[in-house]
Amino acid sequence: MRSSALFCFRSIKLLIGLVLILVMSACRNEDGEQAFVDAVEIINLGVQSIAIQVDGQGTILEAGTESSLSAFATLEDSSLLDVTNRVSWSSSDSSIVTVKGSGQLSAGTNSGSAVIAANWGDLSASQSISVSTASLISLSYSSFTSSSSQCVPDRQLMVDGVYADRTSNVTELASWASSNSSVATVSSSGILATLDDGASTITASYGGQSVNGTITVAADISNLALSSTPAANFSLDTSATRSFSASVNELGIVRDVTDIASYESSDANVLTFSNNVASAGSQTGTSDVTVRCGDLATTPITVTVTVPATADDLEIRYNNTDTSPAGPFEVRDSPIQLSAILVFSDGSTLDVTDDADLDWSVNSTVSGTGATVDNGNSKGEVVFNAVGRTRIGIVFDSDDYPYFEDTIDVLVE
Amino acid sequence: MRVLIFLMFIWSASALAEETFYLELAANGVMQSVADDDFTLASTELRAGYYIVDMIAIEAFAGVGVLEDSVGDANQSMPSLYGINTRFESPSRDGTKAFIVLGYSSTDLELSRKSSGQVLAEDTFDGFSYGIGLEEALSKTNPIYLNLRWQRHYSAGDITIDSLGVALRYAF
Repeated sequence: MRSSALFCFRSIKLLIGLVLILVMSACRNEDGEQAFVDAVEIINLGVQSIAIQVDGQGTILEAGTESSLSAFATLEDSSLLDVTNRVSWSSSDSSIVTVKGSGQLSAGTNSGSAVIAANWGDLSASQSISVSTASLISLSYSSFTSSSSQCVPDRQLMVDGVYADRTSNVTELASWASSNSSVATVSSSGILATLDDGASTITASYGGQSVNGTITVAADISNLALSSTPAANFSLDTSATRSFSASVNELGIVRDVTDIASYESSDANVLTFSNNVASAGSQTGTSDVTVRCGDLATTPITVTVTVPATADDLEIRYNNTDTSPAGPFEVRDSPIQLSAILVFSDGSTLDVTDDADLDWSVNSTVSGTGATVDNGNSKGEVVFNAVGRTRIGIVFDSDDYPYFEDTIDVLVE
Repeated sequence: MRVLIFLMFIWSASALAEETFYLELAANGVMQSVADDDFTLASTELRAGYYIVDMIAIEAFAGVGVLEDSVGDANQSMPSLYGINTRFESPSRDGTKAFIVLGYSSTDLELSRKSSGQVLAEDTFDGFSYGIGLEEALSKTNPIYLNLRWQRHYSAGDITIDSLGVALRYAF
């Protein structure tokens, strides 16, 4: 009895110890995990360095306001990758300016400077940011277009604040308004969208100052021109698709309007559109395509929808002459080079002699000592061992074409 | 924390049972995944255990990495691995028994650029670990055993560390 109780006591202690171990040892090294994930990502992406881009107000912030930074990684091919949300941000003096994980800066109420650092794995970049208490004197547009069309993508308006000690971009700080929202609207971040013909006054306000600008949206503006790609007539197989793109040239500045343009087919039975992608309809024939954007339209181009040629036959040829079905094919030299030719419904041909999906072989020796045919580096090369009649065969088994096979009897005399 | 865990083991095992000690020498494949990259390393490991009651043992283990692995230019190595387990065995049937292990593992990892050798990350990942295994007696007269064991040493976030290996065991 006493021995049994002792065993139970030991077991209970053991179980309690185990439970405590499991609970207490279940800690997690999140910083370590992130360091390894970052390292793998840096290596896999081929990141060479990272750099900070100053957005918003620039390097001098108005006290008590917000701005933003971005981080970009330079990859092995010299391209840039936005890593703003992947780096860890820190400020050398959070009483002057603080920074959040998304690169958003918050200036304190006192003037001064701090160094903002971005760290990603073993890579880092830094940028000095100052906070100023200088007063705002006026606002002015730094980017504004007074004339526009319905066929332009949304665009960013920008406004500068003129301070006693500097000029800074205050686009993100300003409030925006449009006097005629049926003609144009402007977002809280200054993005202008044109909707209809007419005029609207766009006002940016900040710090007790404001600036106005009038935009005129016109049906026919001579300095706008719409173009599309493809711009010339073309043919389209019934199984194929073709993407169109569209752009407008506005005073020499080319803007992509592919997504806001419309694409019209004159015969939907022949050609249909899904957004900017053309595909064949239920019938072959021709259809005229017009690209429209606002009141602008391109000159129609003609698209011809055709049935693609199909592979109808596979022939063994010698000196580009079909050797079958008449046979036997008589030769006197050795070796000779045979060819395998795919013949299409439109009369075109394709030489597949060396194709990996084509196998050459000797089907049988009809008489004599026969011949051999190469199926390796010199596909189709036939070597004759002696006089006789040999049947050469080919089998073409490709995912891209129907299954074909052919034979020819070769007679050596 | 680790000292506390060790003391708890000592406390748990304070009422000693009259069982045997054992030593194991293991060769492991260590499968590590970091985000979407999978690395397969190799390690050798020494385990020392003691049966506190019949079919329940505590064991300490320590190992070192013997083979590194690379994915692209990312090279992963495992300088060391150690921990403690409680091992629960099934009754032996024809010399074969199954077992599970529950415990604590600590694994040192190092990630570097294969091309330059530059170390980008090195850290220790520790926590609750668990595993299963099968053991076969190699001799009817000598206490020599061969076992196959899979153990998960760490799994959290984007990091997973598993091992699969064979071990030669001698009990005395």
